[in-house]
This record gives sequence, C-alpha cells and structure tokens, in this order.
Amino acid sequence: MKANPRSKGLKIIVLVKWVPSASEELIIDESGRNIKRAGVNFTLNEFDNYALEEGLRLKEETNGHLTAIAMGPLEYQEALVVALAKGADDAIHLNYEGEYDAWVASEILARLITTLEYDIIFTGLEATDTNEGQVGVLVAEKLKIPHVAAVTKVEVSDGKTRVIRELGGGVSEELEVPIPVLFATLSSKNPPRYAPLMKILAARRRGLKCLELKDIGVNIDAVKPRVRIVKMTTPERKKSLKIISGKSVEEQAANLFNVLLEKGVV
Amino acid sequence: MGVMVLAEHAQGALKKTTLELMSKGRELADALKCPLQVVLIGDNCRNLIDVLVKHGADNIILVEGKEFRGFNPHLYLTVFRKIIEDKKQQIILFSHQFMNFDLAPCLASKLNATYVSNCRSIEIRDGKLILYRSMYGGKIVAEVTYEPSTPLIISVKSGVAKEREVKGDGVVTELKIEPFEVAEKVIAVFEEAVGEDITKADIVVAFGRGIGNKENIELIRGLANELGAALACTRPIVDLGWLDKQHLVGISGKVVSPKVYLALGISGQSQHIEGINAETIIAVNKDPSAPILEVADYAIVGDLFNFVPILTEYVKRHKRRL
Repeated sequence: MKANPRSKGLKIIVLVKWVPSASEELIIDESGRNIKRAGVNFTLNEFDNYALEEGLRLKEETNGHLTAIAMGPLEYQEALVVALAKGADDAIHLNYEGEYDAWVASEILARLITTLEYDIIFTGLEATDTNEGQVGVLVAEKLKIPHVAAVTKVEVSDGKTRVIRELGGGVSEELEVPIPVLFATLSSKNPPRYAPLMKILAARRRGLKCLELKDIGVNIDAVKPRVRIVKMTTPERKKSLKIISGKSVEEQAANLFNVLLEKGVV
Repeated sequence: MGVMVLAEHAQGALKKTTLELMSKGRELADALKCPLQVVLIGDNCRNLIDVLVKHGADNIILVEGKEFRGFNPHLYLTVFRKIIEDKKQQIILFSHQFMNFDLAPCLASKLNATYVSNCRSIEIRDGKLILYRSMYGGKIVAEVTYEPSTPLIISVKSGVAKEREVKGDGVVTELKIEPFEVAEKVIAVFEEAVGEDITKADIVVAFGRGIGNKENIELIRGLANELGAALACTRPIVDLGWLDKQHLVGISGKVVSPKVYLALGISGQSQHIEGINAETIIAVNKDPSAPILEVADYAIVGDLFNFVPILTEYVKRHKRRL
C-alpha cells in the first residue's frame, strides 16, 4: 500500500559506526585498554542499520536527501560504503584516530552537523562496541533540538513527526514531535535492506567526502573525554558452569539429553 | 549530599531493576554516610511509598500529576532539574533501560555533569567510586576513570545488586510542579498484542542470529515441538520479521521463568539475558567468549547445526520408549 502524501524533500542525516560483528571473539591488546582490531570482522552497527533503513524509507517517500556520517579511523569508511550502497546520497567521513567517549564524539559530530541542513537526524540507540547509548541524545542536546530514544517507527506529515518509542516489557508509546528532531533508533518499520556486492563495489568507486577535525574547527585539546578506560578484562563465567564435552557430537548430545532428564523436563 | 535513585514503575508496581538499584544505592549511601533519596513521579503513585521505605529510602520526593500518567522523559527531566536546584546531589543512579536513554544523557548535558552509562558493578575504594562498564555486548568489562562532577550520573545494568529489605527513614516531601510544556508530546501508551504465552512453559528453546537464515528455524522448531517446549528468540529475529513478537525474550519482550532455558546460537546480549529467569540455562554456541556463557549453567561449545538434529533424534527415541 502506498503511504499518504507527506512533507516533501526531507533532509535526513544518519550517523553510522563500524563495529566488531556480534559473533567475533575479542582479544584485549597489550595496552589492556583496547581490543585487537586486526583479524576481527567488522560490520555496520546493528542499530545504525535500522536507523539507516528508517532514514532511507523516509527519504524515498518524500523524495528527500540522505547524508550518512561516520567518525573514527579510516576503516570506519566501510560503514559509509554500505550506506551509499543502500541508497544514501552523500557520505562524510570525519577522520579521527584518537581516544574519545560519548561526550567528545557528540561534541565533534554536533559541530559538523551545524554546517549541514537537516530535518531529521537518525542514530542507532547505541553502538554495540562501547554500549554507551548516549551519543544521539547528546548531539540533539548540543544542537538544541528535540530527541526521542528507543524509536521503532517514524511517520512524517505537515512538518511534524509521529513516532513509536519502546518503553520495555512489551509497552510502547506514541509521540508527536516537531521537526527538526533526532531519533535514536532501536528498530525500523521494515527490516533493513540488503546491500548487494555490485552496489557495494559501485559505492566504493564513488568515493566519499573526507574531513579532518581542523576542517570543522574542532580543537581536540579543548574537548576532553569525561570517561576513560583504565583496564579491560573479560568477565568471569558463572562459577558453576559445566562444559558438556564428549568424544563426538553424539556423545555431547547424549550428555545434554541426560541433563534434560535430570531436570525433569523430558 | 546524597545518593538519588529514580523509582521506575508500571501498572502500579515498582520495577525489579528499581529495587536492585535501591539495594546498590543503599550500600553506597551507607558507605558515603549520606541519605538515600528516591524520586517518585507518576499519576496516583503514593501507594508505592511503603515499598520504597522497606527497601531503604530515607527521603522520598513525590511528584504527582495527571501529566505523568504516560512516561515522558522530557517531563521527568524538568522535574529532576527542579529537585537538583534544591539539593546538591552526589550521585544519581538510573537503570540502563530504554526509558532512561533520553533522560540520563539529557540530564547530564543540561547539568554539564559526567554520565557513566551501562555500569555492571560499582565498588567503593577509599571513599571513591570505582566503576566497571560493560562493553561489546558484555564480552568486555572496562574499569573506567571519570571527570569528577556534582552530580555524578550513573546508569546501571540489571543484576548489579540483589534486591533486599532494609528500612529507611522514610521522610516524604511532596513537590508541586507548575504545568509546563515540552516539544515531545506523548499521545498514547499501548501494549503489544499478545499471542502464544511463552512465559508459562517448563522448557524454552530459544535461538538468535546464530541460526543464519529463516529456513533454519524449522530445525529449532522441530526440537521445540519434540520437547513440548515454547519457542523463543532474540530481538534481531523479530526485527527481521522471522518470528512474531510474542516469542521475544528480553527487555523488549517477555521475561520467562522455565525450569530449563536452552539457548541455541545466542551470544547473550544483556538486552536478551534480562528476560531469562530460568532455573537452569543451557547454551550451545560456537564462540567460547559468548557472554551467554557467563550466565549459563551448562554449555556446549560447538555448532548448533551438528548438534540439534542429533538431540532431536534422542528426544524422539526417548518418547517412543515411554
């Protein structure tokens, strides 16, 4: 079914991040303050994928324009390649190798965004690497625009947005919020589209805009992280964890089956 | 000075995470020799005061009004700012739940305060708080330092402390707030439609992204059917449209309390684990560093695709013998 006519030509910004895939085994590096990035598969942050999908849908419905932005080391450009392949019109990479927390990231990103035109900004609810869940809302605060987090659906008409936000435990809430606005996205109305390899290759050839902090007038010495990592560890397993082993898969399955018998569920 | 906790409640009851948070808050308040303050906001919520006092609240700041019927973090924010103008808070604790993803960073920004989010434990060393954040979906724990600030805002994962009864002073201060407007207006609050109830099953077979593609769900469904188990899944599976939301376990969905929870190809993001209240958790996962192994009682490190068909066959054979 075709959607109702809505506001025309929405200008949309989506902030994206390149993060280790959920199934990757992570190793802490020699500094003890970071993970080893080499040899780890990275992917578009899951929540950013939904943010991008929601942004692309609104862009298409309103014949609008979508700019994807990523901040971080050079390899984060891959997130922008994916965004372009899926239909973003523009992509901006803000090259920054240094240490940052949500406070610093939001300061820098807000500075960049003030140089752009926008109606709606989408971010993921959180990045699955740092799990801070702050950057989106802090960017909105710095831009002095409204924000809603844990958004699962956005509709736009007459310069206003109607959004669904999840409160947890199966309860959601519908809100009306004026434009401009930022949404920290938990999910999207439609499942994220797939970026075929051909489009990825084409997007890579297209290139993107690369900026350094000085290009947007950020003096990084003046923006200090408020939270710094001292030491990383891997969490302890439950003391009572029993690894079910066996010479073969059959034996493992038999051993597990015995556990089910023991617990009285078969 | 004090430690402050926001009382989160729904349908007339305090959330479990709030009681855990109060237990931690009480511990911190005792160590820092200051009162534990609880902010209680809502429409007709004063009946919760007794429970708060029983769980250690020294001061309760009560704000009631029809406008607080739904949950609007932007209204809460204004209330918080009023309260903080009155009292210099040392520490404000929030639960790291969806409802606080607007409120906590927003408050930090307005107050120019440090906000440390998603902490899995808090210790006190020489009168100073030592904070441990959960990162990479729970695979990594990071001890952090932070810029001191008043207040210091912290959000905490569920399970940070065990809920306990300890009587507080229970002084109630009612705060009247003049009506005000915010840009973000709540129009309606609704519950997702309910279907099959997975919360009552004795055994739950759950799967996550490790399943690979939609067709493989039948493999899991086959095992669940043989076991007479409820079929459950993680958030991405629902977002992909592979299963209905009534099968979702976690913050966004149901809390299940079976005898056995069989987690197949589930990495164990905290958003999922918070929905598991099982006597026994059994995990099957290829990744030996998967966070699900932190909470599991039994684990098989291996490929679920090799394993599930064989297990299904054992269950079938066992049933034939009965």
